Amino acid sequence: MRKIYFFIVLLLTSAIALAQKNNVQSAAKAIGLTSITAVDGSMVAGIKEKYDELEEAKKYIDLAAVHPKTANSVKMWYYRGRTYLMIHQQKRKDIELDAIRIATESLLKCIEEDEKKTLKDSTKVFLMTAAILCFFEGQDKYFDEKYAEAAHLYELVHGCLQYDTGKDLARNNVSEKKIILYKYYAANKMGDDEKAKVHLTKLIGMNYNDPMIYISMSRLMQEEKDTVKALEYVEMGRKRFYDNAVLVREQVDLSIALGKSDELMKRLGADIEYDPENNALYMVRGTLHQKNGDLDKAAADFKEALEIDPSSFLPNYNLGVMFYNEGVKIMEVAKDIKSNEEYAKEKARAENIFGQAIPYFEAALVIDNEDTVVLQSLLRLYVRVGDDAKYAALKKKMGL
Amino acid sequence: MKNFVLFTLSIFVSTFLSAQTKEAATADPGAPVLIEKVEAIPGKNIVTYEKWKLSNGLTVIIHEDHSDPIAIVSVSYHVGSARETPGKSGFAHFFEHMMFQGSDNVGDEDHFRIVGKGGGGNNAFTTNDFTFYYETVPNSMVETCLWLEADRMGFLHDAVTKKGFENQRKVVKKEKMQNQINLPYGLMWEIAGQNLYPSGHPYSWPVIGYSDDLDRADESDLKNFFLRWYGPNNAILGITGDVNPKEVLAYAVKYFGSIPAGPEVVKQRVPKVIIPDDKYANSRDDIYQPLTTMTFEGVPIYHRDEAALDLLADIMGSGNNSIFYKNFVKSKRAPIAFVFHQARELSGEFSIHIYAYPVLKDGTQISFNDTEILIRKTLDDFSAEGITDDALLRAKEVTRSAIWDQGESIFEKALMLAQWQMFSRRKRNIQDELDRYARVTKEDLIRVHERYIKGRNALFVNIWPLPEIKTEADMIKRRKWKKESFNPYAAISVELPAEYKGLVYNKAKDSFDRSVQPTQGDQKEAVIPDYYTEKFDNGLQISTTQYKENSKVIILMSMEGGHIVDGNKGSKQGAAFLTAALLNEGTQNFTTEEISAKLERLGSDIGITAGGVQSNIIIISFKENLDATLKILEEKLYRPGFDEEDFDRVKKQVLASIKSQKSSGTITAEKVFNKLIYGKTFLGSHFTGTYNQVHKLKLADLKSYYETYYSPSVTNVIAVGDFDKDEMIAKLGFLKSWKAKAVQMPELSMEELPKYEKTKVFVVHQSDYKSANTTVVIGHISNKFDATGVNFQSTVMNFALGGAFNSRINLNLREDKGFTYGARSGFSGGDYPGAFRAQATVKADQTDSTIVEFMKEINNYVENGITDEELEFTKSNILQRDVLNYETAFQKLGYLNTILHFKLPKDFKEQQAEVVRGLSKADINKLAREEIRPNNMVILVVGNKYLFKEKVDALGYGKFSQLDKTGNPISRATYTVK
Repeated sequence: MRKIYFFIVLLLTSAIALAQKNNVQSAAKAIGLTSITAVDGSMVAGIKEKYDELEEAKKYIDLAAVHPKTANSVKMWYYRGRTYLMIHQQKRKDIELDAIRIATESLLKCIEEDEKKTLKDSTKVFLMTAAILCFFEGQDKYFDEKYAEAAHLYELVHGCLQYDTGKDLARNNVSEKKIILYKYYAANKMGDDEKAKVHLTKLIGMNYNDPMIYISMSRLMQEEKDTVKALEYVEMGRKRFYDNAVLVREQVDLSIALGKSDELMKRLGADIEYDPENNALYMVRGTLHQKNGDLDKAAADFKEALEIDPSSFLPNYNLGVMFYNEGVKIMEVAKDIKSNEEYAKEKARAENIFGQAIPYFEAALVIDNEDTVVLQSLLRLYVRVGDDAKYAALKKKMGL
Repeated sequence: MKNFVLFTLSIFVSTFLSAQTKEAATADPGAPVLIEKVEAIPGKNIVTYEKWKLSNGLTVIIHEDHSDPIAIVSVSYHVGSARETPGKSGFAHFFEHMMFQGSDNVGDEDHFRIVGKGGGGNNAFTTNDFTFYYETVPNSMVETCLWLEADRMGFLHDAVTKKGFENQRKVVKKEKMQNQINLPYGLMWEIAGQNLYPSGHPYSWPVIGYSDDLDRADESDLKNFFLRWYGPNNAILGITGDVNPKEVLAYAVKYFGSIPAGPEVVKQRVPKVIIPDDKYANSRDDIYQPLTTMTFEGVPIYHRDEAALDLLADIMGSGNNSIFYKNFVKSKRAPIAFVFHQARELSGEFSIHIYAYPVLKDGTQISFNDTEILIRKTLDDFSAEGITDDALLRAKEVTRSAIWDQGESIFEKALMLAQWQMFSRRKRNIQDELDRYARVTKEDLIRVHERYIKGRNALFVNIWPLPEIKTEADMIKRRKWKKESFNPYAAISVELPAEYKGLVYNKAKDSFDRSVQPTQGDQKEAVIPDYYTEKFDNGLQISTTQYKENSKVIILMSMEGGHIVDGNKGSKQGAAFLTAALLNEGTQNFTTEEISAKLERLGSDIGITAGGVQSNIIIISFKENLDATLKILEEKLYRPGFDEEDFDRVKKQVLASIKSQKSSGTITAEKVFNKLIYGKTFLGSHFTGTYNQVHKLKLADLKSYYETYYSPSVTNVIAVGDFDKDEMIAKLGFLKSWKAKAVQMPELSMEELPKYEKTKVFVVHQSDYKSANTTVVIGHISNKFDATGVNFQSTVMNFALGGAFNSRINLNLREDKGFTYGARSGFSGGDYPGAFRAQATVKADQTDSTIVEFMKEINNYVENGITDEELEFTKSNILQRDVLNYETAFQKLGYLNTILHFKLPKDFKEQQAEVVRGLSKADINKLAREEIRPNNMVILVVGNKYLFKEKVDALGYGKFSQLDKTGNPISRATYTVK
């Protein structure tokens, strides 16, 4: 009796195992695969696009995926990957919304588990296709604000890189740097600063060519109140992108906060010597002078910036502002002077300085005729210097 | 906040300047102000000029050159495609076309007619950064040209018509089709720009624009563009040549002074290009050789690093000693590999271009990876090997030679003067250019290499051949494939930028009647070079002329023969071409690299080519280096290397170029047309030979060709340079020892040529994709060259039919119908009978209409003849234009070559003028009837037959015969691939 039972059990077990293998084969058949290996050991490429049979294929392969006999079969992972890849490629969201993720995970698993490397070459081809599509899916998720899902997909793609010996991913613009960059974006949006820092650090180590990574890292450090480290990153970035305006601004502000503005001044001098036609550098040094109270030097740098680019709004604006503020300062003090004669003298001095502001504001207005600060400042200046005609004309222009 | 804000780089500087005001439009011309005057400096290469400024902001630059009685009038507007808005691409170039459609006082097409009648020519071009209009004329036409240019600057606005607008839109789209979409690799630059520059960057769209952007433009868009950018304050008027500065300045003030200034134009600023990571843009095309380009960020024009980057590119990838030559060309991985740095106004690009062989040595198909891996390896090799002093010296000398050439013609000078004004912050001249390249040190090269190239990210553009057709399914797939220009801005909604709002056209008011065309003054005679001729005992004929203005010497050695001798029965077709190619390689005493290095150190060049009827050697050298250069020529001519390795490589290159020709509709048309009219004679085959013919050639065949046909007895030498005849003859004296061989030129029997009892249509099915153009060629056999006889008179007769922009054929097919970017007809003829030939490239579904219109014009001309007006125009142009033909060394060379080759008398030009003057309407009409035979023509169509076959069959010439790409008849039936 026991023997019979044994054989019955054996038969039944075999039948079940066979059934599960048949599920895998059925899935394969459904999507048009006729055999796994060709004469030379490579995969048969001729897969038929059986649109209507994809549901059936999914059904079989999902069954195979959970059965203990086939759940860890390399072939199962392979067919699962290909089935879901096809579902994604044929845009069958009616069958599965997450097809590409499943496809990539499956093919990755296949290649990881395939110790005998029987399916290696074929799997690699499909894995690369899946990885590229997975990355694009990640971008779609990101733009749909599903950041966690996006991050997971990027992570998956990152895991595929080690198998990309032919650089197919990079040649389809899915390079490692890009993957890490997008992982950073997702982490940033999720507010996961720790992960964001990890990714940024990696990118910096890989010399990713974008000043943004240094700026972002610096800002993260500033949020942690680590101004020293923040400045370190900015300076790292400036070594590579010496004339990036945001980096320079950050460096100025941080250097002043850390009492290192002299050092920065020296550095700017060296940069200007290297690139004397870069008006951005003069602007920044001028602003540093302005913050340090060296208005003459500030004005000289702003004027140099204007010399290089007369069409630049900000040097005109800043010069106008400098003279304007200087005039206001004089008047602030003057209003407390008791002596009429002294007051008159200071008033005249202030008006003279206001007068120097006017041409710069007028030049700024030519460049940007809608800037309200400039418009308002000019109105006030015309009053101060007593230029009624210009005041009236400007008022009319402003529709007042 | 703004009080303390630091400067931030603006993405695109907006030019919010107020438009032309609504106040009084009459601008007082006022007195021009002299801004600077540049005089000659002994020992320096200086283009002298006066620079003036009118009160409306127009810059006037006058350069005097009295060596020839000619002049260039040019207007350079500092606006190109970079000033366009995303979604409205192509406007600058479209507008360039509109500038020829007439203005208030100049009728539609009259610009061409007036300039042509005065013996001049005119054209224009648009770049990313500027648009350049110019007329090249006898100097008596200067005032007229100034009147023309002023009229379209100040008075074009109201003359824009819907008809003209719609027509030119068609023409521009045709131009894109012809020069980009239908050209092998034609979309490469467009793809590169889209991927290298960020979205919205002015260099991210092509100059010619996208077709759908052109489709959404309307007349008001163009008028706005004109008002915004085409003011005199944004223009540079150049007057160069044999002019009186006072006189031409007065004309400038008269015609331009009253035109009101436009809105202010400020310098455009864009963020620097940053390539965060290597980027790939992959595309397919109907090509043979896969193309891979690798582009790094470069620098803008006149940037402090530009000269070093230019020289670095030369060292890396120009000439036979460069590492890219060594790793790609010499190793037979690619027939063509080069590196160059292109600097434009806003940024630059440092590019590596590799046209690879599609199959590797082991027979496998090349892949993307292979070329990229080798490029990277080559860059690493370059870093490791470093830069030698000799490499730098050679690069500098080659560059010096190129810069020097720019100062020769008045056209080049006009262009340079305009560019210096637009792009350089400080005063600049040729000597400055020479100096800045001369100053570059090895340290500079290392620095720029580190900064811009080594380890830097780049854009890869891969253009790959279409997959091979192996099955019917493949063929069906191929038929569905379309080569398309992708517009990334197609879906954006375009808002009118602020700078275009409120623009008002203020027409200038004059104190004279601008509608009166100025009278053309008296024209000085052409300065025809005097020359000396001598014959050596070995049969070599030399003609030389002294050209004092140029520091360079140009020598042409022209050997009769070429393809026609190897095309004879029993000979080896393609041998002439391949022999010439091989002679550019090493010699018995020097390798290819050594010879190249020698020439580069001298700034000299020796190039050997072969065509249908001649093999030619061109020698270019600085005067002071001529002896050394001629020593190298002697070595090449007398002791060619005929190295097996060189032969193998050069043959492979030629075979690749023959295979590549199949993608080109115009080359196929040329080959097959010649076959149709010359049949199986030696003129009916292409001078490169067919692939199979060249494949069979052995090194011994080339040696045999050289030994048989390179002979002084069939060679003419023309030398142009600053030596008197005795000096020049002495320098060429080494050619006396060249041993003569008896060389016979083949005779052509007219009986051997095909005869067509009636006009017949032939079709070569060229392409399978729907966006193809069709090339239409119509013609028949004609006469040999003669200086004053039927052949010459036929060219005169043809002028009104199809020999000029405003000839009947072009005005019909291009300007009226908008079928094509250009249509012409002409007579050719040399030592053997030439052909009458009319040709145009059109959209496939206009093929039948094109044939109808061509034949209509031809028949009409033959039956009804020339009009009085056309005859007057023809004579006026031909009699006056000769003065333009002697300015440059190459022009003088061409003139002397014609005289020597055809054994013409010294006064043949006068004889020709006499003939032209004497031709009557009756003479022209008789010539047309006798020399153009509309009932005995071949009509050749190269294109996608599926798009026109029924309509072409229905034209009344019977069903067309189908030919393959070599001109052999094949079945018309659709074939299936087995």
